[in-house]
Amino acid sequence: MEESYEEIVRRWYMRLRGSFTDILMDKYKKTNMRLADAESIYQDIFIAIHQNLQEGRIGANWDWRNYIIRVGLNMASKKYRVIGRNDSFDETDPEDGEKLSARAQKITEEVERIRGLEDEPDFYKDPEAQALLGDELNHTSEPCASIIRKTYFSGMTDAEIAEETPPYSDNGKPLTVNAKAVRARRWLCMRDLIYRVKLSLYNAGIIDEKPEKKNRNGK
Amino acid sequence: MRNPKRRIAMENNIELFDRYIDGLLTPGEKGSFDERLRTDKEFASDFRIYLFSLKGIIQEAEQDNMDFVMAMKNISKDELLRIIGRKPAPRVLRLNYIHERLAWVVSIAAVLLIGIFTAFNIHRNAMYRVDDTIGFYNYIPESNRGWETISGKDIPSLQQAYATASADDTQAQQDAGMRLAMAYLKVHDRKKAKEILSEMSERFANDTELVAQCRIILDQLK
Repeated sequence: MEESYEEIVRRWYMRLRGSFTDILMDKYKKTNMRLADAESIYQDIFIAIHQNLQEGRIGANWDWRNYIIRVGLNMASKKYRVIGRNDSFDETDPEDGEKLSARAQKITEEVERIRGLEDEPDFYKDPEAQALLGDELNHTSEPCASIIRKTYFSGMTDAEIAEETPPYSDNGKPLTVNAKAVRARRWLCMRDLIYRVKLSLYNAGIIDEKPEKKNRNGK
Repeated sequence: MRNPKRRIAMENNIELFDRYIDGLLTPGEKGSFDERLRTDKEFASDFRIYLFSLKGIIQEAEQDNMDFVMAMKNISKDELLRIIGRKPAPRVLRLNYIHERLAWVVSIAAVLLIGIFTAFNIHRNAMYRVDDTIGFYNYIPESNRGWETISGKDIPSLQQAYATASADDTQAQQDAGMRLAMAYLKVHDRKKAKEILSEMSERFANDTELVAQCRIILDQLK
């Protein structure tokens, strides 16, 4: 069953809400930013995007997840600068950013190059293979789905992803996620995804090689 | 410097794929990578699935983004505000400088008018109570009418009675005059009541008791 427009907007709104308010309150913890203030800015972003799209002032081909975060940080920066507070994060105008990350462009180009080679199985456009892939992607749990998407679609670095990941509690001790932890997690996530996709394609008779489950060291 | 082949062997494939995509491999590492794609079937298969998966992730993310744009373009602002839980800002009446000053003047005038009207009502009610008290104590009842039953309709008959009272009967004239004066007070016509009382004071100047009574009432009506 297809999602209604309202459901799509609600899903997007809820998807980034927690991480955005966490990021903002962390950035402005010295100024004692309240959750209500951060949520108000988050709401303002959606109102601004809605208005700009309605008036045709912004294009449609954005990485909206990145766009929302960056516009939000700009809004917060401007708001707090007005009342005499300042901070150090980047205030780059989102309009200056690339619509598709360099990494995503490179992946697209590499796929096209590979497809052009002789004796390459062309399952890239096989509807059955794509359906199986879509199914495996849908079954990719968090935080793997977010880490993979942020890395390969949004082109974020491990450090940037770590910065956006809220601290977690380990036996009552607050622990922050660092870039190294993100990278290790991403490798595991990707290895698991590749194994599942391979197994799915093998079971469907699309590829011949039966995948072998590898351990953490790739052996 | 480590041997590139040895290094590639030590690193896991995912990191290698990532570095290849990001263009971070040295020429030597790139050569080793291409060589493995040709000779290592499992490595080549993993790389193909890696690219296939990433292409799928990118397509899915792009579709998700397009869905978002389409949805945002097709919902109204009110719907959006409801979805995000933003309550409409309360409407604040903003007046310009002149209107604001005018509003103050009108407000103060209204307060003054209400005050004056209230004070006038209090004063008038106090006067009416004095009229009623004077009338109640000084009206000379007739056989068929007491103070309570006197109204404005009775004034013409009382005027006639005062005018036609027997010239020989001074007491009857005084009683008729006093009834008429008190009837005027009953309808709170103080001016007419005072005229009658003043006239009686002059007309019956010899009757000191009546003149004194009229004077007292006139003083109370000042």
